[in-house]
Amino acid sequence: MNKIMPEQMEPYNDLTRELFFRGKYVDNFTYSEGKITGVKKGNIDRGQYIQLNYIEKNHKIITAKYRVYGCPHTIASIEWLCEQIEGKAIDNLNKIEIVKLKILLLIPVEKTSLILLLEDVMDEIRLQLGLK
Amino acid sequence: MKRLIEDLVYLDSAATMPIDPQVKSAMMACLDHAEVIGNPSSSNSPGRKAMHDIEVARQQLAALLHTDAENVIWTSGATESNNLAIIGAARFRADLGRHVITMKTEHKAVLGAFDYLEKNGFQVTRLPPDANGLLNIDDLKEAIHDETQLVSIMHVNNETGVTQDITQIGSLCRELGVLFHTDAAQSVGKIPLYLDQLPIDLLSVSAHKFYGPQGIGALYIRKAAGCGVVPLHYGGEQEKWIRPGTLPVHQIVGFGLAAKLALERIEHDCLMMQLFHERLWDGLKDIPGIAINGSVESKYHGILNVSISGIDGESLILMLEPLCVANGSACNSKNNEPSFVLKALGRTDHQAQSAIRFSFNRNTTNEEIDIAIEKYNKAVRYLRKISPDELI
Repeated sequence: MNKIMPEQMEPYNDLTRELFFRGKYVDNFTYSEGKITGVKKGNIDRGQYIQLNYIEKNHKIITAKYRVYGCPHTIASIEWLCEQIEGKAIDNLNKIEIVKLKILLLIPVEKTSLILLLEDVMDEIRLQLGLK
Repeated sequence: MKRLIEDLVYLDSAATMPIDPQVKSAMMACLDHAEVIGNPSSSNSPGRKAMHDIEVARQQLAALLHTDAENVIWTSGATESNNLAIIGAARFRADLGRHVITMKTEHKAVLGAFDYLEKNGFQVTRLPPDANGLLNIDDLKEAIHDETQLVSIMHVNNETGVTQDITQIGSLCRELGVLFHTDAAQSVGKIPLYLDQLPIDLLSVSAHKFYGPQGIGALYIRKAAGCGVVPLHYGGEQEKWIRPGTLPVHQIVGFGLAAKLALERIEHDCLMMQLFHERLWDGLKDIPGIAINGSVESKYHGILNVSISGIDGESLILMLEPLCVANGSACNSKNNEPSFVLKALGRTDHQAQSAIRFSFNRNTTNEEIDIAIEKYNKAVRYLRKISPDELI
């Protein structure tokens, strides 16, 4: 059965769907050599929880992986964040603009807390790396 | 911009049913082949034809309900019927007392009407369900006092399919001289109802919940002393002054035919729902952490509502596409709050948030059920694979 639906009625845009289904940075707990550092943020009972592990080598994030519980926007966001982090020089981490996600993924206003959660993740990473 | 959704599998029939092709044809014929659809209130020939069609439909719906046609009032749908029944009956009996009773798990169309009454000087008791979603009759007995004039308890719950014992509830109300209204939007046309035998005073019906058109409903009002409603609208003699306004002939014709078809097929449909329910649950029950929400004994089998631990309901819905299901009721699913119905059953936020409602109709196929089983299993496996340690 085929149905036509106007795009503005869709709760998720194409990028959100792509990132949600991609799962490229899902943590399978198999890492290349190096010290694994982890960040855990959020609250399962409140519907959002992120566990991000990364390996830093020679002032560069060589691996970023996640485990996540939450809505499609949460899953898509952490997939996007890992993509942004992985391969990036530590000094460039400050250039990642989490707030851009609000527009990129068309995150609805009632999910604004997601942006704050991702900011918390990034703040923690920066702190761990001595950037703050 | 248009998005094409291919291979949609529709298992959200509790939200709205696909219109029966015969019903659609009858409505189209009503719109297409008449020179003019008369105003049923007019005494000219098209008007008389329109009124005739409306009265035929009224007979058809009355036959499905096993009552007299004169007890049926047309409305715009179950929401209006519920409002008219609850607010109308409370006002009708306000001189006798101003206490009314309902349950916490009612549809918002009922709860909203009770909220309105509360703001307008009525005392409202909202009874909790047990963990299976059922009313404890002793709670109701205890809640009724001298001032109580109306009890409204739904027949089949729209989220869980849990079926209340309306015979027992109605009998108690009748014994204590209290009016009994039931929102039967999810049961009429799906479960046989014999209003000539049931102790029900007011009953709300919606056409689109059983293969009829959207935008049309009905209210059954028992013809008896002390049973009545004060209108919500004024300005016309239609529907015995109770519900004024020009009647939508084509919708009523469609509604009547849907009722006629339901009466012919109801036993077969019931059996089909039971088979779909069994097949789906057989395919899901072995998934760790899954549980049915609501009673499994006292329920309408056209609805299966399940919760699962460690899974977000919104992500699950997206993973299930192109399966069309619901998390929460259709009327409640645009906000991200966990279902108040499941919360009233004692479910945690987490359990309520993961809930998915599957609901079937007579066009559902075994193949579609199998697709649902496969997609649900696959979705749960994936979402657990990406879940944090704490949830594994």
